[in-house]
Amino acid sequence: MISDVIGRFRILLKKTAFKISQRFHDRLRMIKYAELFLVLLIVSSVGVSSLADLEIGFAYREMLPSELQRAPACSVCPTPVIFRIVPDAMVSILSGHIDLPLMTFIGLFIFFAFVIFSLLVPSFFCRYFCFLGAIVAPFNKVSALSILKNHQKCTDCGACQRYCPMDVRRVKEELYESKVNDTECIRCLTCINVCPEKALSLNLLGEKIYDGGSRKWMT
Amino acid sequence: MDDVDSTVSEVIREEVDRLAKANVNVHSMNYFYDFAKGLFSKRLDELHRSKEKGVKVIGSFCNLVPEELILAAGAMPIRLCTGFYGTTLTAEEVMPRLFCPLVKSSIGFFLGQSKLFRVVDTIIVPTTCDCKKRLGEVFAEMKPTWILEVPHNTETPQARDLWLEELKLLKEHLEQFMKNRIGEKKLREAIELCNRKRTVVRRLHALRGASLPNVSGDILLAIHMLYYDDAKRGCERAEALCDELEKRKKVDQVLDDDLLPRILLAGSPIIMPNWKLPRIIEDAGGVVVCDDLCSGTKGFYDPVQAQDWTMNDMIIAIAERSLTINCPSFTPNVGEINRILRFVEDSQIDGVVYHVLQGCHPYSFEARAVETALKRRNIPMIKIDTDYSREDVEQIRMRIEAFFEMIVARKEIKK
Repeated sequence: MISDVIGRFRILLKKTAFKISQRFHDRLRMIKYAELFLVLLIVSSVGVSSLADLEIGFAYREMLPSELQRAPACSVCPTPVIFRIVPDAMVSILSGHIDLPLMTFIGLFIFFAFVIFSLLVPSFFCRYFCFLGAIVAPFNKVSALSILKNHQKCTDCGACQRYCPMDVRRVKEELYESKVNDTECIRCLTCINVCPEKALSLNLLGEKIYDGGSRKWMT
Repeated sequence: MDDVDSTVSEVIREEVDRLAKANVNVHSMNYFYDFAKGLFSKRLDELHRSKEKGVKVIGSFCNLVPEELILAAGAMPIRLCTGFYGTTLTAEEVMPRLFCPLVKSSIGFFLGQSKLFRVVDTIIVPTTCDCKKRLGEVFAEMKPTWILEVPHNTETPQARDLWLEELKLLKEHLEQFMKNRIGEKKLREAIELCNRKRTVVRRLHALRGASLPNVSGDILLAIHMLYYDDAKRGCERAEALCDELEKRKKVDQVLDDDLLPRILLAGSPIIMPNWKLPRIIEDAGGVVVCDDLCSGTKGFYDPVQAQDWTMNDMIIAIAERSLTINCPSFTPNVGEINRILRFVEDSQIDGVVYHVLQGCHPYSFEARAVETALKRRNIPMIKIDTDYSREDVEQIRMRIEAFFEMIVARKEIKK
């Protein structure tokens, strides 16, 4: 959501989204899956060792860096910066403690890096770093909400791909199947809104619920 | 040689009168008839007058030249494609004989010192087919000419980048030439105007196949004239035509004869004085329900779809649109075949008439691919190889009549 707000600022600043080449995009995409794997590895190793022997498990947990002890997933996420690190820092400054932990600065650095990249690339965090997205991704295949493409209406203009914040190519490139749910899709419905031919529609359990409504361009 | 214009006007008047005679009281068409008649007299005078006021006139060829940029720069765009046989002969002095008659005709107007030559300030020629490339060379000797490099394998990312760069350069060039910055607001207005034109063409496209009295030839002319007309005025008149036809659609439903052959006209451009193929089709009792001509629906079919309305975004949208035009010089041009098949299905087409001008190799090649695709759908196609001369009218008439008889027989059997 933050990156959406930042994206609005991008339009206000009259900057066009920076386009990442397809090959590079496909590689960067893997970062979130790698993150998911690492997080699962840490969590499960702690869990399994604690199950085996509580003492060893506890000692193993103590060995990990302090940030990873509490919530390993949050170390990559910019959200706690706003909701935890900044308030914490504020509280400590107000109560007279000037010396802030190193983690605050690292968190702030990551946060501003994300802000800058989000200005250049739409939904930058979702695309490459959101491991929750990586968990949800496979369920796109069996989702009740699905995007259907009417191949009869599609004129191959490529608007859906051009404006997709996740740079999904399948909606444009699919030629036979009408269900075009991509694993990367976040259901932002931009493609449906932007399609000049109303060839795309959002369906809930096979029932059409949205096709972009009334727009200037007619079909 | 000053009478080139008057000779063309004479030929156009003859053709248009024939169309007007067959008109079924669609009053909004009168504007388009008059406009067509005055294409080489009134319209050029009008351009000349605005030129005296300091507005520059930019001539262009092909649908790949973005009209939006020209309009946003504050210039008047005019299409230079012509269809007059008389001037092809003069052009043969500088052009090979077996060459595209459209290109020869256009050069002939310039060699013949027509008013068109005096009106145009600069010319933009895209390198689509070979004929257009050479055309740019010849024009460069006479007028300042900007050659727009067009990539041909349009699916690759590097081709898209090239085309985008090319449009950005064109924008800079236009800004320099016009001494006028193309701002975001102006470009947005131009895009919206052009999209309005495209909306109107879509409406006309939808109305053609509806059960109306036979107005297909008129609509073909109206869409064709939008290429030459002032964008705003043309839009308004075409909208009026749409409204009238929609009203008529409710009142009288005449075209209910199931046996009329519904025809898709595709292939090389059909430009005004060269109206022989549509006329033969109408005479033989066919209805042009749809067209996929460079001089018809093709150039107006897809809208420019911008969303952020930033400068870069708009130029990207314009660039992407031009590459979905399905110019036959693109390779592979699968989009064209898909579009024809979609038209065939949407408008219940019975047969396809494929027009190929002599020396128009891209369309000539594409005819084969289209025919194989149509054969799979069991839709007959006839390929008409012709040029601007009128010698072969009777032969073509014979072929078209036989083709239509075959279609009608098929329809009767189906019944």
